[in-house]
Amino acid sequence: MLRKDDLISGGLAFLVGGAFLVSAIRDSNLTFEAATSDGVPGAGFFPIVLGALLAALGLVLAVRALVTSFSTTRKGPTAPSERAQAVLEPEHVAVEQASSEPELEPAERKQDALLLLGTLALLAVFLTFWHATGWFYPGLYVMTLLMSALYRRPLRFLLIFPACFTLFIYLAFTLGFSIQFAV
Amino acid sequence: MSSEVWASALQTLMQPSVLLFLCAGVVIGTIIGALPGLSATMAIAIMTPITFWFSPTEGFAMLMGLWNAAIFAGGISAILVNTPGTPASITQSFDGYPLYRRGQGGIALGVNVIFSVLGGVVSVIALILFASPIARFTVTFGPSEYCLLAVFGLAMMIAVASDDVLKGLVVGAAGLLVASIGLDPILSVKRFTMGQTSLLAGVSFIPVMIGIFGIGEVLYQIHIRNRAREAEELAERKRNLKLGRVLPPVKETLGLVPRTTVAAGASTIIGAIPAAGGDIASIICWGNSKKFSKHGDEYGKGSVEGLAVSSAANNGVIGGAMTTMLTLGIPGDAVTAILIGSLTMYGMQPGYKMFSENADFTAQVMLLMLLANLVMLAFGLATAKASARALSVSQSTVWVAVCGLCVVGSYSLNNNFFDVILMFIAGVLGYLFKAHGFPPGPFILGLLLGSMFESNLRRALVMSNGSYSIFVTRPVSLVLVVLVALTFVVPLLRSLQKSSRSRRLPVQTKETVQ
Repeated sequence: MLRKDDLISGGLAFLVGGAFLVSAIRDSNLTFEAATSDGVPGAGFFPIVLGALLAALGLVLAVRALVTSFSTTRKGPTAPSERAQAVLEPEHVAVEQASSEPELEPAERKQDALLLLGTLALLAVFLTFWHATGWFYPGLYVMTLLMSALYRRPLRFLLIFPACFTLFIYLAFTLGFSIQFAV
Repeated sequence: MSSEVWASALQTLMQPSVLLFLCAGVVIGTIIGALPGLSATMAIAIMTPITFWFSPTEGFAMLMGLWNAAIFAGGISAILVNTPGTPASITQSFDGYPLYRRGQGGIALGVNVIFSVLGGVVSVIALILFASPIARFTVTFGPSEYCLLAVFGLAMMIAVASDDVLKGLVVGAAGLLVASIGLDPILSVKRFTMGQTSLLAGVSFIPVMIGIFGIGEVLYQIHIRNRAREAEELAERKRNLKLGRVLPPVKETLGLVPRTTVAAGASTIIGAIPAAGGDIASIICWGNSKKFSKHGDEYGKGSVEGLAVSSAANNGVIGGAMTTMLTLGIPGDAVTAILIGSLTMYGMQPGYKMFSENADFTAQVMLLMLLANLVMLAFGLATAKASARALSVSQSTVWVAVCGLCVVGSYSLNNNFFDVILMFIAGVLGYLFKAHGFPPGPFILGLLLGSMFESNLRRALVMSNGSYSIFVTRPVSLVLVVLVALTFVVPLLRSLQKSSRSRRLPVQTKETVQ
C-alpha cells in the first residue's frame, strides 16, 4: 500500500524548501558568499543550503513513500508506550499497553474529525471576530460556550464554565496585569 | 561561585513574594501534572508569558515550582488511572497501578512524592556541584565549538525523538529554515520578511511553543480520542478503591534510598544529554533496576522498589537538563528550550556568561529548584489523597481552558495580535506534525538553535578565512564532530542489525509485564 501521508508530507517539504531556495537565490541581497573575503558565507548561505536540504529531504521522503508499504495507524511514533516498548523490548519486556487499547469505530473517527474541525473553526472565527471588532471578552465568552457545546457538556456546565472562565481571564489579566487585549 | 553569591541568593529567595510564587507554581504544577493530557511542557509554555509580568526571580520561582511539581504529579494519574500524566511517568504506571488495585494507592502516592523529591534533590546537588566547573571549561569555547554544540543538540534530538531519522531531519531542517526568517545575525540583511515589520526580529519562539504544545496537543488529543478508554478511566475513578495510608514504613523507605539515589544520579546524567528526557531516563533506570535487583521479578506487578526508582528517575532528569541549559546554552528538553527563551526575554544569555555576569540569578535558580523540592514534599504528602480529585476534571474542560489560555498567553507576551496568529499557525503545524508521525522536538530545537548555529558557523569561517578545517583542528570541535557522526551512525547500525535479526527470526517470543 502507498504511504500517502509521507508522500504528501514529503511533497510539501519539497515545495517549502524549494520556495525558500528560489526566493533566496532571486534576492540580490542574499548572497551565497560574503563580499569581503573568499569562502566566508553571506546572508544567503544558510537559506540556500537549508532550502536545498529541505527540498532534497522532502524528495527522499516522497520517493521512499512510493516504494515502501505500511499499515495505517492513528498513533504517533513518539507515544510514550511505544517508546517504552522500543527501549525495553530487546532486553527485558514488551509493554502491551498500546495494543490493548480498543479499536476506534469509523463513526467515532468521523465524530472526532468533526470535533477537530469544529475546534479549529471556532478558534479561527474568534480570532477574526476579535481582530475585526476589537471585542475580546464577548468573543472569548462565545468561543468557550460554543466549544463546550461542541464537546457536548451538560447545560449546567454551559451556563457556569464560560462565564467563570471569561471572568477569571478578566480579573487575572486585565485587572491584575493591565492587559487591554486591543488589536 | 563564591559563598557571598550563595548567601545573597538565599536572602533574595526569602522574600515573601518569591516564596508565594514558588508555592503557587507547585500548586498549579501538581494540578496540571495530575491531569492526563496536560504535560509539564504544555504547562510551562502556557504559564511562561504570564511570568514576564513578574521580576525574573519571581517568574523563575513560579516556573521552577511548576516544572518540578508537574513532573512528580504526572505519577498521580499513572498510579490511579494507569495513564501517565506526562510521558516521563510511563514506568510509574507499571508498578503504581497494580499497587493501587491492591488497595495500596495511598502508599503508592506517598512513595511517588518522597522519591520524586529525592530524585530532584540529588539532581540539583549535582547541578550545584558540576555546573560551575563545566561553565568554566566552556570559557575556552570559540565559534566553532558553539556551532558544533548546536549541531550536536539538534542531532541528538533528531536521533532520539523519532524512530524515523528521515522525518526528524525534515522537521529539523524546517526549524532551522524558519529560524532564518528576519534579520541576518551578522550583516542584518532582511530575509523572507514579506514586508512585515513583525517578522524583522524573526519568528517569536514562545508563541510557537505555546501553539505546538498547547493548541497542537489539544487538536492531537481530539484526533486520537478514544471514548471506550475514556469510559474505562471514568469507571476506574468511580470504583473508589481505598487509598489507605500515605506514608510508607520508615525502615522500608530508608532501605530504598541507595538504589533510588543511584537511579537519580543516572537520570541526572541522562538528563544532561540533549534531548534525552524523563521518559527515556525512567525507562532505562526501571529496566536496569529490574535487571540488578534481588526482587526484580516483582517489578511490573506492584513493586514499591520499582515505583520508587521510576519516581526518582523522573525528577532526577531536571537537574541534568538544567546543567546543559545553564552551562552550554543547549536545551536538554522542550521545557529547558522554553526556559532559554525566557532567559533571552530577560536579557540573559545562557552559557558561561550566566556564571560570570548573572551569577546571583544563576545561584537563585539553583536554590529555587532545591526549595521547590522541599515545598513539593510538604505539599505533596499533605494533599496526596486530595490531589487524586484533579483526575475528575473532564478532558474536554481542559481542552476549552487550554485553547483560551493559549490565546491569552501568546497575546500577553508582547501585547501583539501577530503573536496570536503565529501561535495559531504553530498549533495547526504541531497537530499535523504529531498526526503524521513527525516529532516536533527537532523543529523547536532548530528554531531555537538556528541563530546560534548560523552566527557561530559564519564567525568560525571568518576566523579561518573560509576553511572548514577549523571544525576538526580544535580538540573540542573534533570531539563534537565525532559525537555528531556517532549520533547518526549508531541508530543506523542498530536499525540495520534489527532488520537483519528480524529476517533471521520471523517469529519472536514476547514476555509481557503483566
